[in-house]
Amino acid sequence: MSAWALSALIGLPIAGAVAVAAIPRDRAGTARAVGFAAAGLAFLLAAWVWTAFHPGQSGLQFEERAAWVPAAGIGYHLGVDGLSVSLTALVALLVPLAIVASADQVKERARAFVLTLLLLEAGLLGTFLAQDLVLFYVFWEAMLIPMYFLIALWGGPARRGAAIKFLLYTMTGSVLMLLAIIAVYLQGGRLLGAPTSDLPALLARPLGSSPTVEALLFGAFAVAFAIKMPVWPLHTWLPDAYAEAPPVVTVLLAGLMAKAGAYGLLRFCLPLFPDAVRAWGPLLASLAVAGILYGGAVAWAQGDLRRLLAYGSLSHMGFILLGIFALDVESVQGSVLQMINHGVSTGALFVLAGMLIGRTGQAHTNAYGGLAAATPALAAVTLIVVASSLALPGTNGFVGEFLILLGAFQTHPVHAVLATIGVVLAAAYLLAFVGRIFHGPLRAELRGLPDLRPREYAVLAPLVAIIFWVGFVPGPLLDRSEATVRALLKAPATLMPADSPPANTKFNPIPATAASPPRDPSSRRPAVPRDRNGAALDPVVRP
Amino acid sequence: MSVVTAAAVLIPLLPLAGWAVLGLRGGRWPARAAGWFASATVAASFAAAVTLFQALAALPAGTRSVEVDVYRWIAAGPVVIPFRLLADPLSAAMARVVAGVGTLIHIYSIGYMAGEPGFARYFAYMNLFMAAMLLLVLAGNLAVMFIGWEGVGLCSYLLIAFWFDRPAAARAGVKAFVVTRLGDVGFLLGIFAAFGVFGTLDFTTITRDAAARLALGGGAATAIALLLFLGAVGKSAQLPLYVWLPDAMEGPTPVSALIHAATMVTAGVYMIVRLHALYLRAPFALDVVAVTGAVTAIFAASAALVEPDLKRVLAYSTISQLGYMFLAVGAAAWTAGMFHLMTHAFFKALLFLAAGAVMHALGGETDMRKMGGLGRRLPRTAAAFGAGALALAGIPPLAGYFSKEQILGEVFAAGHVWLWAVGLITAGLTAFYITRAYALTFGGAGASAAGPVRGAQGGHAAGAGAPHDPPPVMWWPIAALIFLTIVMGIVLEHVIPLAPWLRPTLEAGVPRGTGSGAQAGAAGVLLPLAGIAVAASGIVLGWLVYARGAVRGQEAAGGRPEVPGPAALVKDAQTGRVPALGRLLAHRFFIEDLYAAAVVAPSRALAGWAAAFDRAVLDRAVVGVAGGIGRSGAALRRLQSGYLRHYAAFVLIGTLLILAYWMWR
Amino acid sequence: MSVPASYYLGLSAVLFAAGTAGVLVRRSALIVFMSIELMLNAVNLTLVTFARLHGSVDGQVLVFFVLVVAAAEVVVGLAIIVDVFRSRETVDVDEADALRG
Repeated sequence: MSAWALSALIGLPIAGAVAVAAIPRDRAGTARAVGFAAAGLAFLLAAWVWTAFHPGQSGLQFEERAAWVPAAGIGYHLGVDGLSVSLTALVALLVPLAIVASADQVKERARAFVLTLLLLEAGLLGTFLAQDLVLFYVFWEAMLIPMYFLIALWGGPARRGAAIKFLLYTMTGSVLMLLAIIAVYLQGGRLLGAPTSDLPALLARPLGSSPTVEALLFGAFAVAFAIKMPVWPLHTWLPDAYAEAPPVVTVLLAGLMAKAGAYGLLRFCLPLFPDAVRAWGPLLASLAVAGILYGGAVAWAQGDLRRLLAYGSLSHMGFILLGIFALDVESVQGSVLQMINHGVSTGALFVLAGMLIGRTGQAHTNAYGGLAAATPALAAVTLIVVASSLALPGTNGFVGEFLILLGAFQTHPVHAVLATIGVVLAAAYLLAFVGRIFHGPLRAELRGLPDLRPREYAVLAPLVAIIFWVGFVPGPLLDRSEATVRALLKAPATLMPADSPPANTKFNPIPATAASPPRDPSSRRPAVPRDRNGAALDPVVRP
Repeated sequence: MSVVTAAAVLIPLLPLAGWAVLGLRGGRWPARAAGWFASATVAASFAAAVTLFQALAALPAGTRSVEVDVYRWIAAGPVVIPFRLLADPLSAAMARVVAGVGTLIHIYSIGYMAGEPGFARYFAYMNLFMAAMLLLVLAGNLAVMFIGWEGVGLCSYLLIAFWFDRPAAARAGVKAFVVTRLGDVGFLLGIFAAFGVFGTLDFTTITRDAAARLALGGGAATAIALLLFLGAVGKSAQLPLYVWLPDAMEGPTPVSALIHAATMVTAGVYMIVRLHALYLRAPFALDVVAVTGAVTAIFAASAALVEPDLKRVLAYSTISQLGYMFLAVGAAAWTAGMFHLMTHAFFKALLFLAAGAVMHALGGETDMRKMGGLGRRLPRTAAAFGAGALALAGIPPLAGYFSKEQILGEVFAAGHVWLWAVGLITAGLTAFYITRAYALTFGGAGASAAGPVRGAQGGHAAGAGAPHDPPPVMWWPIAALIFLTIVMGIVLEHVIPLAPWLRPTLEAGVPRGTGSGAQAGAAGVLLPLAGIAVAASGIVLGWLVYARGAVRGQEAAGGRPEVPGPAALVKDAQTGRVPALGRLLAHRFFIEDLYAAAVVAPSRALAGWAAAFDRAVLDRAVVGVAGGIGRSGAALRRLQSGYLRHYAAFVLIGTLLILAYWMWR
Repeated sequence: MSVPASYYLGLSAVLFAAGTAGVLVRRSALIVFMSIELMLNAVNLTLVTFARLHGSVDGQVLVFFVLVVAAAEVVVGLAIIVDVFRSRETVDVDEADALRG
């Protein structure tokens, strides 16, 4: 089963989409049921992969290889490691929930909506599973198209502008990335003697580019990923897209697609361009801090609840970026964990926003007030999710942000101090959000709004469960990424058993590289900056 | 699993289970059942705390510190943080007080909150608070303590804003949360810095290694100590982050008693005592703690002099008493600080519960200008408040006297004569303002001006007819607190002394014994006498001014009496002018106005500017680039004439150019 | 007697230029079409010339390709012209400017 699990994981949503397309247009309920079944099966499969994943290994597991364009060294290569295994599960979890939530929120062209969601899921899964540069690029672009249609067809009044802005913005980054991919491909081919776009093969030895070239390539990749995350100041597509997309879609946009950017930084930038990362890391960490404070401040001043949450999301993504470029094991671990956390809590926030807007038809916080009296359960769940977003201990958000800030404090103390102030801003805007909507006297026109329905409970329950589960028992998530992150940062593995190469290398299209599969991390470049256990690089703070 | 382990785990777990049950199902229960259930979980937790205490007492003194690793919580790279509890004399003593007072206030709440909508929600929050507070107390490392630390903050927010339909309460809740979070930034950074130094967050390791890893008075020690103290300043409402506590009185009165008097606000003091070994490495930080405490004590006491709201008087009193505790720990008088923390928990909870009984009788009224003469109608309540007031004022043999004298004596012995003098003056002010509060509320002959006024606080029924003493379910917790207030000072000083019990904890990691014995010689006799004299004169003065004045004022003004008082403090009846000193005190030296002008307004403006900047500059820049591309396209489209020949000509020209390039390159 | 290759090339160039001029200046779609044919045949002539010159059949093979493509093109092109004429009542290429930007 493990030999084809990942292909099946990508294939299930596609098969589901085909099945949905075969259903008559007017039978929306059937379409939703079929779509949910496909996404649900994908989730079960992803859950199985997540469970069967061996935490102690840094390399790829569940690998699949097939020739695609053998002459050009382009292969169909899938695999999961610590960076992607939990993200994959998150994708597979959120999409079925979004399909369920959409039952109440998206009434028009429901069949096409479900179909597009499934295609988006396939694109997202492929992005997180691809281990070949060209394959990654194909999936990266493939998830853009369904997302464009989801915004442009089902969005709010200004949806067309928002969708085009989103598309052009991301495409700009993608083009730069494509150029960089080609450059890396050519350089790798020159180095290895045979052209290849296989990522592990390219990582086998240093690319040997000149510092300038490396910085340019890093910049091209980084801009593409930074737009996707987004990173301040490349975020201006975000408020429009988040606010105009239907809330269910924003769940996926903020919860999953933004993670693709952070994931890309970890998957490609850190191992491919270690020197440039070291040189430009502080700049990106500064941008992260700017984003944290800026996003928090702007969110505080927003009246539209979706824009408030959108800027809040920008602020939270800043923490993830800071953690990545703090470049020590605990902060990168915190970032990897926080990607999941942010997906869950921001996803849940937008699910809740969708429920509010679905009840009242209003998106401005002025239209609300005192709702806790009418919908106590909705208010209670919102409080829990807000607590997670505030990184209160006992919720998932705390573990991630704590590790990020703790790690960043050891390498970039000034950044960490400023970022910690963002925690206060988060309290200000999130409690303002809660206060304006749920507190105060109940407005007359909101009297009698229905509280959570069983279907909505079903959507929220898994998210709330994850919030507490990760808050108190983050071990299973952290353990899965620990070995990979250590290998990525060249930190010695102390806790985990030693790496062992995965067993199932079925077919290798490139003879030249197949001889030495580059999975042993010790053969990689001595790379990224800091090793907390090595005393040589110790920063000022640690005596 | 030993008794100690089981008890330590159960103490926070029981209220947590109560919260989970109440949060999920409590809304469907009969109202009282939820209240009794919540009280039962806390009472069980108290029983566990007593068991823990006894189990530790049965151990030899040197082995009374037991670490309980519940499970591996966070592990990432070099950061390994177990979910660790620490059962030692300090935490056991504190847990016993917290759970005990918590039980009493839970029971009291059953009567106080009767008939409230959201009864089950109230008790769910209270249970969650107890769980978080007990976790804070029993935490074995800073990260676990931070769970409790933020948890109590969250519950404080939820309970202050319990009557969320009242904008003032909702605002006060947010204010409390955000202001304490400001302090928590310091606390978090302190945790990070401590991790940088120690490589762990465990209290036992920090206590053990503090002397080895931190230079005495070095930058690292001072920085960590001050950062953590910033968290304490926020949580314990010290200058300059005290502003949230008076507003927090918007919450139900039992909440004020439990969270904003007896337990949560003392967390800062407890944390410093817990990390005493670290603070001893930073004498400068200790001085900062002591001075902050002393200044806060006298500042808040003077603000209480003119406050017309009964609960807010008690709030300022709490701030002031917390100042005393920080003064004590700042002078390295750990035992005295903990002693005062405990006695204060009893008598301040008593004062709040008595005030709650007054409000219960008056339908939620808290304005003392509308009270007076309640002593006849609520004799038992008056007696309870009186006992609390005497203890607060420091009259022997009530609990407050012993702890306060111990603090002042230790401060004097430590050589902080000026701080001692401030403390002594504060003691006089304390006696004065609490006498004022008592006199205005209960004193005087006239009937209370306020009839049963509904509405100021929630909807609890005032009962038909005249104000009356509280029902038994509220009275018995008060009675228990009266008893504790009267005897606990003597008990903890002489019968089961606190100092030897805490000694194993407090001497761990401390190289030199910092004497906490009684002062010897003449000072040992004179200091308590001075304290008693100051307190007594404060009471007499207050009684002379207010008890008699209350009568006069009511007769003179007839309808709505003004608060009488010294001429320097109150509005002149003829001219209507308020003297400068009175105005200064009434506005708390304008600190809150300064905040509004210097912090809140600029932050809001900054946020507004950032939002405008985002739209006007960043977004416009991007849209501008897109527009520029669009305009260049518009210019180029003229080439698309639609004439076939033009296109053909372009092809021809292009071909020729390419040819020319190949020929002449 | 053999004619030098340059003569063929010269003729080819003249034909090509004439065709080009015809495409550029004539307004009737049919004439433009014939001019294109002229250009194609000019190229064909060149190809044959060089094939002969180098003694290789590659050029002649290419000519066949061109002829086939040209035939196909005539079919499609004439169909378009007929269609344009039906809708516009004219075959003047300047009238067909729907692509004007």
